[in-house]
Parts: sequence; structure tokens; C-alpha cells
Amino acid sequence: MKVRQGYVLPAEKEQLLHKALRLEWISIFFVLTIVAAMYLTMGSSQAMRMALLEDLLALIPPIVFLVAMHMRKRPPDEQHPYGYSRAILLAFLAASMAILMFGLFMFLDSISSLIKQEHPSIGHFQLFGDGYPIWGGWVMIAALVYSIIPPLILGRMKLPLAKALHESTLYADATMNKADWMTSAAAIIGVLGIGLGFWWADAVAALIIAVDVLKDGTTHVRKAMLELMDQRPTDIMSNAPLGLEQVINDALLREADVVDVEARLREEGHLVGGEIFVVFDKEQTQVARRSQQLISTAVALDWRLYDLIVMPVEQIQR
Amino acid sequence: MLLLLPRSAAASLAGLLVLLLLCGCNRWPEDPRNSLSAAEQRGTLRVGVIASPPWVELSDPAAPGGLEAELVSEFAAQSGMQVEWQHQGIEHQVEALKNVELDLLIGGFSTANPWKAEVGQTFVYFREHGQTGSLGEHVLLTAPGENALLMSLERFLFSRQQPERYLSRLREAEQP
Repeated sequence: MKVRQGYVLPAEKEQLLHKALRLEWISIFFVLTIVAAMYLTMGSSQAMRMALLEDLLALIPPIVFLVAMHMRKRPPDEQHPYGYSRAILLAFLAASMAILMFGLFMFLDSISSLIKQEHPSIGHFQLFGDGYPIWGGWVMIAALVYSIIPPLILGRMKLPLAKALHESTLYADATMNKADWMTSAAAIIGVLGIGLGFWWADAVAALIIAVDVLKDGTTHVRKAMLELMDQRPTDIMSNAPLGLEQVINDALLREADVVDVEARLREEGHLVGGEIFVVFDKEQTQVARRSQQLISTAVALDWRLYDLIVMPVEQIQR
Repeated sequence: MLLLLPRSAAASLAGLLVLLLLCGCNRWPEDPRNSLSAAEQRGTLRVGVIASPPWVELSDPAAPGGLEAELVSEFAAQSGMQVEWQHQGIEHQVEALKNVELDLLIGGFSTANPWKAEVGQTFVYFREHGQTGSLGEHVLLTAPGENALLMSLERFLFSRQQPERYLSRLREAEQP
């Protein structure tokens, strides 16, 4: 069986990828420290228990990204002749589902505490049942402020990398970071509201964020599904077509022996593969050799293009 | 109102914060249903009691005794209040506490009590050793979300963290 050649990332992209992998490890580390801080400050507060569970969900995108990266490194083999590059799309779907579940969870939880009119009790700070002479709300706010900083910085750092590397999963993770720190900001306002005597402040603040997270989650899940269904190459952030088809058409039409050309491309994770239909001049007899030359010309046009096929045809039906 | 204009979540949150700050308060944290101020105005603290010697003894229903009944009387006296004792079955008491018809509920409760998600509870004011699980972690139950009342009661409990006092009473109670 003819398996595909393994894809090699350009050196400068490889460097960016290393940076992204390092950021993900750092993310995992910080999420774990945040969960520990939340656990120690939550006392008997239900709202903080929810915040802790939500923070645990934030582990999913970095973990699936790292697992998918591990899978993706494998060269194509007999069992998977087209390679493993789509592993990253599956990871993207999983990460998007995590964001969606996170939003749904928050939404239902805050609605149910509003309906049940749960009045959160926050007394003195407690650690393993023992009281300390400070209002527990202040300690929660301190923990929440700590839980804002790492995702805020890491999310901002991941965005440009996601764009440069064409990594949807990394972009989803950056969105998750945004959801994460905004949840903490909402929780701070909620705790302050409780201090002022508004039992509903916590739930309403969470509800506002939940709507935002749900919107992000549905957009991402939709995008992940469309990408898995061989979508044309699009920008990972704006979802606008990249226009690679036109770039290829324009470049190949400049060749003297090419009469007509039309490309058809699909996303395979960070890679773009597909077919180029070419009508050669009637005089051209070296069709096989020229086809291979055209492939090298086309692949050199963008770093994402990989393993394109040139299909010589008599006429292109449009 | 805020949810109808979700132009951006950040703006809505900022609006919520401003709204909260505008309402203001005179205590920190404040009671959503003003339990503490209302009790101070009435001059009575409404306390539900469940018999559980030596914590709550109901030999004389008009004047309950026991460690927790004494603690609560002392707390009320310190704030210049009388105690209005309420006798009912435990489910009625918990329901009344949830509806803020009671301020406090005592009855030798521990952190193992099944209502802790629905009502407020103080920190562990006394740890009794030799009990299974968290049955020895003694707490008082308060009306849910009434944080000014909870803070005030806890401030009092800080001054009464005297294990010897509770231990000697426990030993007395064990003797026939």
C-alpha cells in the first residue's frame, strides 16, 4: 500500500509549537494550584464548590491538546495511510464539548439556585471546620483573584500562537481560559453582593457568564463538527475562508502550458490537503512529469498545504 | 433587566456591581432578610430547640437547659435580647429556620447534619473526640444566608472556645 509521506512542520512553526506545548503544561500546573486554593477556602459554601468543579473542567482542553499532539507526531502507516493529523480535530471537538458542558452546568446551576432561592451562608473563614476571625468572603475573594491571573495571561499568550499554528484546539483552550477568568470575576462580584446582603447576586453574576460561555461553546462545537466533515480551509478565529484555492489557481494559471485549473481543498487539522484539476495545453505531451512539477509549485505556496494531488483532465465542469 | 441587554458579559457584570454598590449597607456582611436587626428591634432571639442532652435539656420547657441553651442565652443577653424558645418536631424546626421564622436552631448538631446545604451553620465550636466520623464536630444552625447574624454569633463563639468547660459537662453527663 502507498502510504503518505510524513509531514514536517517548518522550523519556525516547530518553535512556536514547542512554546504552545510549554504553555499547556503551565496551564495544567496552574489549574491544579487554583483547585487546591479553592478547596481550602470554600468552607461549606456551595457556590465555591461549583467554582471548583468548573475549574476542574478547565483541565480538559490542555490535556486533550497534549494527547492529540502526541498522536499527531506518528507518521502515516499501513493502518492509517492518510496519517493521524485529524487527531487534533477530535481533540478540538472534545475541548469544545467541555466548554459547552461548562456553560450548561453553570447555567442550570445558577437558574436552580435562583428558583430554589438558595441563600448562601458565609460566616468566618473556616479551614477544616475551625474558625478564624476574618469574614470567609474575603478569603474566597483572595482565592478568586488568584484564579483570575493565570488564565488571563495564558489565554492572551495562546491566541497569537493558535493563529500562527492554525490550531483550533489551542484557540478553543484560549476561549476556555477566558471563560475561566470571567467566571472568577463573576464569582467575586457574587461574593461582594452576598456581603451587601443580596443573596441572588452570586447566581445572577454566574448566569450572565454562563450565557456567554454557552455562546462560545456552541460556536466551537459547530465549528469542530464542520471541520471534521471536510470543511474548506478557514481562519480558525473568524471562520472566513482562507482563499488558498484561489492562490493555487492564480499561481498555476501563470504556467505557460496550463489552460485551466481549479483546486478543491479540505482541512485535516492544521494541514490542508486536496486535489487540483488541471487542463493542459493540447501540445503538452509530458503530462505525468508536468503534474509532479505543478504539485511542488502548489505545495510551496503555503506551509499548511500537504500531499496535494494534480489530476489532469480534458475539461473542468463547473 | 441586566440579562435583556447582554451586549457584552463584562458590561453586564460591571452594571451588576454598580447596582450592588448603589444599594449600600450598614453592616458587613449584611443579612438579606435582616434577621439580626429585626431581632435587636424585637428584643427577642427566636431559637428552636431539639432535646439532645447534655447539649439541650428540656426538663423545663419554659427554660431549656444544657450547654447549647446556655451558650445561646449568654449570646442573647450580651446583645441585650431575650430568648424566645420554640418547641416543635425537627422537620418543622428546619423548615421554620429556612423560612426565617427562627433565627437559630440548637440540638447538639454536628457537621454531619443533613441540612447543611439548606441552612447556615457556625464553625466547629467544640470538637468531641471519640465520636465516629464528624459526629463530634459541634455546630449551631442558623437561618440560611443571614450572614450578619451568623458572624455575630460566631464572634461570640470565638470568646467561648473553652474545651475544658464542655468536657467537664460531658463527663458529668456520662456519670449515672
